[in-house]
Amino acid sequence: MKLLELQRAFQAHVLSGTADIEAQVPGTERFDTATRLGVYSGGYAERLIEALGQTFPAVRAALGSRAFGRLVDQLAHHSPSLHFSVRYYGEGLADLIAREIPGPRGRGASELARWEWLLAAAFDAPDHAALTRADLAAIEPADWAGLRFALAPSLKRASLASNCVQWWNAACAEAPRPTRWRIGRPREWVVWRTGLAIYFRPLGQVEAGLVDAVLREATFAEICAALAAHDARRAPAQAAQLLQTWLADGWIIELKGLAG
Amino acid sequence: MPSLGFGLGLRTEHYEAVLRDRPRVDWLEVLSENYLIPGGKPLYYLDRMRERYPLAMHGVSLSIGSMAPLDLRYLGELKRLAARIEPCWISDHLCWTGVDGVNLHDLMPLPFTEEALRHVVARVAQVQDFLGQRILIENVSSYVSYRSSEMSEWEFLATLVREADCDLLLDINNVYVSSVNHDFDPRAFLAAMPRERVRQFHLAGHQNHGTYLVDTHDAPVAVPVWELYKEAVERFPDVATMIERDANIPPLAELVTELDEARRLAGAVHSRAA
Repeated sequence: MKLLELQRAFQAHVLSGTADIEAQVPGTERFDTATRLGVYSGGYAERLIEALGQTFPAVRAALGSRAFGRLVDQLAHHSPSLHFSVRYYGEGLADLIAREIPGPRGRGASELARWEWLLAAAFDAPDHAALTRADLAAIEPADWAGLRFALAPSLKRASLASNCVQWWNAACAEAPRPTRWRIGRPREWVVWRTGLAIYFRPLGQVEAGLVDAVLREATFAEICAALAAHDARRAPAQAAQLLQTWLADGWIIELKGLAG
Repeated sequence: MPSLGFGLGLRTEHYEAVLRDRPRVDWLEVLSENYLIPGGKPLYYLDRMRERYPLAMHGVSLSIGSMAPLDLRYLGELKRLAARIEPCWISDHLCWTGVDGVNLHDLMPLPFTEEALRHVVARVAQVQDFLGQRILIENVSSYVSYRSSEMSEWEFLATLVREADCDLLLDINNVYVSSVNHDFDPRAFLAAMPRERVRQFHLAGHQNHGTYLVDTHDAPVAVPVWELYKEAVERFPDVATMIERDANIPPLAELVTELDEARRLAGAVHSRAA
């Protein structure tokens, strides 16, 4: 058997249990062919269950190790890793949970998986230096209208209809779980990293819309117009307050659209 | 070049303890893939470690034996990391990790054929050209052999390092585990390795399943592996030694004590030789 054929046969055995590789692998009385191959086929899922358990500790805690293992096993065999690092494997877990587990438990655990995936992305997102109030104070008045803000690359948005963050908090604190999964009106969240620490907080509808607008590279004039549409009288003060909060949270890392 | 001495595999569980305690460790081996990320805590700690220790980069994703094309994105990131930390060397395994775009995240063994040898020799040369430095190739633990093999693992490896002009990371535990699983004399393996190419030893623990052994890195180094290590030190003096632990990770002090045992054994072998 040529090398490529052998590798495909062995990989197919690990992923799907096909038998073509068996004839290529001699066994002994002490250590037979099936046991030899089993070290690889069994080890494959075990390794990914272990790795994804580190990315999704709260999902594992919420579903229980056995159910979590079954789901990752299924994912590993149907949607294997395509990346050189196992760190980037597991994004498909959220959809799999939503498909496999019915009702609020499935919807909530799926959102929890999405939440932990966002936290992982924030954890090792590119480092950045945040701007300060002095940077904003130096902006010429004429530049404000066309100004756009670049936000920290670690900043991620989520819209969650379940109480999955409560489940996540309980898992982290090793505290009693919430009594049940609750599904309601979606609530907006933001996750980000400052220095080495991960932060998150819920957002009001107005602020969530503005963060999304900034992520779409809206200008300051467009942001103010959006605020004015909610409450024209308070828009200027609200804009100033939001900018201060975002600066304090280290979200703003670059100003775009400045003249010169 | 003098040996680096005695090192440990850097694990996240030990970040703070290493920085705080400055343990009796001459150098650290880091898992390359853990740091092929844009930013955050792992890279922060990596830079702090580099300020204090020589670092070696050890990878698991090169897939040097795969028939899939080399992953240039991976190699590019590896090269960027090497530029950041200027490692003593870069190592990976004699294995394949997947084909057709898939990564099994395992060190799959190669058949020891002329076809595989030609393939790996050419790929090591490509990688070394890309990285601009010689790499170290490590022998893996294996649980299968193939009917198509035309030579022993040690013949394959010795020819590879000579023809590809690379160096060797000799994993003593892997030699032992494979020797039990495939009924060969581990001393024959050691004897076949070109002395001038051996740059590093790995030591680790394994699990005994009664009729076979599995390389698990979750336990202290086993007695027969220490015995084989003594023979390796005698045969290849002045080679850097490092202990790997990837599961059931104990407190740092416990691993430092285990590393002291390696120092003691190597010292005793050298004193006897002198």
